[in-house]
Amino acid sequence: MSFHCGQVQAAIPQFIDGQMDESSRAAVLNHAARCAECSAALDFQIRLRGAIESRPLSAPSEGYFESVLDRLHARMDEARPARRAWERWREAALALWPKMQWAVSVAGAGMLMIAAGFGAKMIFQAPGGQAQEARALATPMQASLADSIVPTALPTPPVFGLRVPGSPSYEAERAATRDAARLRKISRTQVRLHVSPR
Amino acid sequence: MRCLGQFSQARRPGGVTIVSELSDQQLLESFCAGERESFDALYRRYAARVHATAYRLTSSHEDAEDTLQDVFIALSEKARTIRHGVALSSWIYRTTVNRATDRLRRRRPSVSLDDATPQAARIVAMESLKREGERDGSDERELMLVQIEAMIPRLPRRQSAAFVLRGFQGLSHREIAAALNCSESGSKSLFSLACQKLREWFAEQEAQEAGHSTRSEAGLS
Repeated sequence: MSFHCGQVQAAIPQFIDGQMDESSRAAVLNHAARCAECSAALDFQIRLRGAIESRPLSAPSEGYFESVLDRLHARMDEARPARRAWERWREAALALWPKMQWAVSVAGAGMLMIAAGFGAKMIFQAPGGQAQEARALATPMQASLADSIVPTALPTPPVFGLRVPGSPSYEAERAATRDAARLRKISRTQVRLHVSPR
Repeated sequence: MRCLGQFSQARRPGGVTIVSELSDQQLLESFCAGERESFDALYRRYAARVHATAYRLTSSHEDAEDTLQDVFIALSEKARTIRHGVALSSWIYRTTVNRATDRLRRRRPSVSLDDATPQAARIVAMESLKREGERDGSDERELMLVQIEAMIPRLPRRQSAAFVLRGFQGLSHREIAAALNCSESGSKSLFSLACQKLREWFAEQEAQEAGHSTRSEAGLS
C-alpha cells in the first residue's frame, strides 16, 4: 500500500489516535520517510498532541461554576418578574371588573358624547370663518387693496351644510379660503414694504 | 404532559428521579415544563466544557466566563425553540463558538486575523510563562502549548473552532460538523487547514530563531 501526500496528511490525526490498521500505519511511515513535507507535518502533529496533553486546562477555582450558576439564577429571576408583573396587573383588573363595571360604563358613555360633539363641530362647521377672521385683523388700507383684487362680498356661508365636494357650500368655502390666503399674502407684503429701509 | 411522561422514564422504583441520569432532551423538556433543577443539571453537565472551549478560543478567562453566562442565558431563553432532533450538545458548542468569537472580535476589532505573527505569539507565550513562574522556558512542550493558545485567536473563526473542538475537546468530526453546521469532510478540512497554518507559523518562527542565533554567534566570534 502506498499513500500520496494528500492522503498522508489527511490520515495523520487517525495515525496519532491509533485508529489505523498496521498496513496503513506502515504506509504512512514509509511515505513520511521519503517526503520531507509529510514528515514535518507528522512531526508537528505529534508535538502538538504531546503539548496539548502535557497540560490539561486547569480547572477554575472550587465553587467557581456554582457562583456563576447563582448569577445565572439571579439573571433569570430578573427576567421573570416582568412577565409576572403583567400577569398580576391582568388578574387584578379582572377581579375589579364586576365592581367597576358601572363606573367604566359611565366614563365610556361620557367620552363617546364628547367625541360625538367634536365630530359634529367638525362636520357642521360654518365655512368662510378664516376669511372673515383675516378681514377683521386687516388694516383699512389692506382691506381696500384686497377688495380691489378679490370680491368684497364674500358668499354668504350656509350655517349648516355638509362638506360634499361639488356642492355649492363646499365650493363657496373653498373660494373663501382662497380669498383669505390672498388677503394674508397681501398683508405680509404690506408689512414688508413698510418695514424695509429706504 | 409529554414532557412529564418522558421525565417519568428516569424515575426509579422508589419514585425518586435522578436528574443527572436524564438525557439532554429530557432535561430540556422538563426545564420547558418549569423545572429549574433540570436547567441546573444541564449547566453542571456542560459548564466546564463550555468554559474550556471559550477559554481556548479567546485565551481570556474573563471572556470565557462571559461566554459561559451568555450561552446558558441563551439556553434559558431559547429552550422552547431548540428544534427536536438537534443534539443539545451541538447547539451548545455552536453557541459557545459564536459567542466566544463575537467577544474576541469586539475585544480586538483593529487586529486582523491575518496579522498573526509567530514572534508576537512567542513573546506572549514567554511573558505568560514568566508570569506563571513555573518554568524557565526550557520545557518545549509547555512553551509550544502557550504559543498555540496565543495563536488560536488569530486563526480564521471556523478553523480555530474546528481546531479547539477537535484538538482540545476531543470531539469527533461528526460532532464538530453538527456544531459548525458543515459536513464531516468540511470539518476535517478546517482542522487540517488550522494545523497547516500553525505549522507554517512555527516553521517561520524556527527559521527566524535559527537566523538570529547564527547572527549572534557571528557577532560574538
